[in-house]
Amino acid sequence: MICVIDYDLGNVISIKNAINKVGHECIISDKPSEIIRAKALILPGVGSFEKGMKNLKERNLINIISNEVIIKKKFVLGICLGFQIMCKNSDEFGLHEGLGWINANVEKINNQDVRIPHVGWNKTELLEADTIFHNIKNNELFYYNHSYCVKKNNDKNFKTIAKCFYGEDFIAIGKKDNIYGIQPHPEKSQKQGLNFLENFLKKIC
Amino acid sequence: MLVKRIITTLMLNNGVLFRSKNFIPDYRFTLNFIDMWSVDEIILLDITRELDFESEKKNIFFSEMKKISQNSYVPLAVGGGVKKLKHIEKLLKNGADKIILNTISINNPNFITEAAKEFGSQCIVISVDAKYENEKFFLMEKYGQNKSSHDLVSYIKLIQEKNAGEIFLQSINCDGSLLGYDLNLLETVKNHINIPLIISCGAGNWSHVKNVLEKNYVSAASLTNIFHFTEKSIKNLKQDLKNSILIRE
Repeated sequence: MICVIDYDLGNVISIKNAINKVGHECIISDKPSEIIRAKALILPGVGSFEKGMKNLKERNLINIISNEVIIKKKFVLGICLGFQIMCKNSDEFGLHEGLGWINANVEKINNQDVRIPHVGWNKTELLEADTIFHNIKNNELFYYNHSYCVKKNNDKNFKTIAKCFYGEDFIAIGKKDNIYGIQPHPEKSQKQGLNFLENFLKKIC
Repeated sequence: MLVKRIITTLMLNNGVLFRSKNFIPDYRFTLNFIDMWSVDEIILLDITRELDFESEKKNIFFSEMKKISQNSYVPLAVGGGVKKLKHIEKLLKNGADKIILNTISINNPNFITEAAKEFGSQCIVISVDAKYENEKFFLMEKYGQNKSSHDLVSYIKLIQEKNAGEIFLQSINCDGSLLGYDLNLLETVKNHINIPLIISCGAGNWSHVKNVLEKNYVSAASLTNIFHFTEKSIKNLKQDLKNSILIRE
């Protein structure tokens, strides 16, 4: 069973639909018992950074998920804001502290020549061979929808395995042991997105 | 490189899919016209008149929306009657990926900022409905029937200041006409928009779509009625566009 963390800030049904489509069972929950029982966690997120952290705090989820991910090394996939929240901090609507699992800062896309937010299908350049890219070609299009991103990686254990260019380079997909983060939305990226989710879940199940 | 998007707009009237002409529902439409794998994004609007978001009748919309979201692995932007933050939360929990605002952003532009602070700007799309009358474009409200007190261009500037993520620009005159997108409307607004722009209403052939997507300030084109008349249409459209415009094949 996969658990999509419910913190009232995500397109959780879209993610559940995609996980079901690739043949896995999935629950949407904020209950500690279900989070602890799950084989893997998905941290979704369509929202602002501050609100995301606030909602996790209010639901007393920070210690529980940190314990599962950092101590028990449970596999986790952070999607979009879910990825950003796993980082140290973000300057979206003021500077806010994140979960800090990845030593990186979330910053606004900063280029006058491109329209913000970055919305739509963009090339995702694969930088390293990884089983998570099985059946996914280099430079395949994924669906992005964000104004903030991780540009620099200050965490020597966090590897950028795919990048995207929109006015400037930023991390599209990264990993650190059991932690995976993806900036585009695999649940909304058609076949290649479903392949990505299937590959992630193959690692666990 | 970010590619241009082909979007289809679906309108539900009391839970039934409809096409529209000049913003009035006309013919029934079916999902069979839409190739869910080829389209890049779906906009779903509840056009049921005078329907309160919290009324029980809204459940018909939610159940149709769930069906559509279960069969699409592309972004689904949903609008119609959204007036509170908790409405947005409910839509996102039921299969929406982005939210479209209209009446509330006209009546209370600060709501856009409130929504962006919770859900991020990228989640908030503003539907701007314009009508040409007496040699001038007007911002329209109430299902496109009444003139708004906002001036069109000032309103477009205002919603961007309030952190709107995208503009979904509809031309009431061109809606359902199949005569092409409203190029005069685009000319009127183009220098005032620096967020992604989706142009809607009027596509009647593939070159209409090409004409607007060639413009650097247009991020996406929305089509509906045209898919009623052509087979394998989204694939054919993309086949036609792919040599001249960067799209997702």
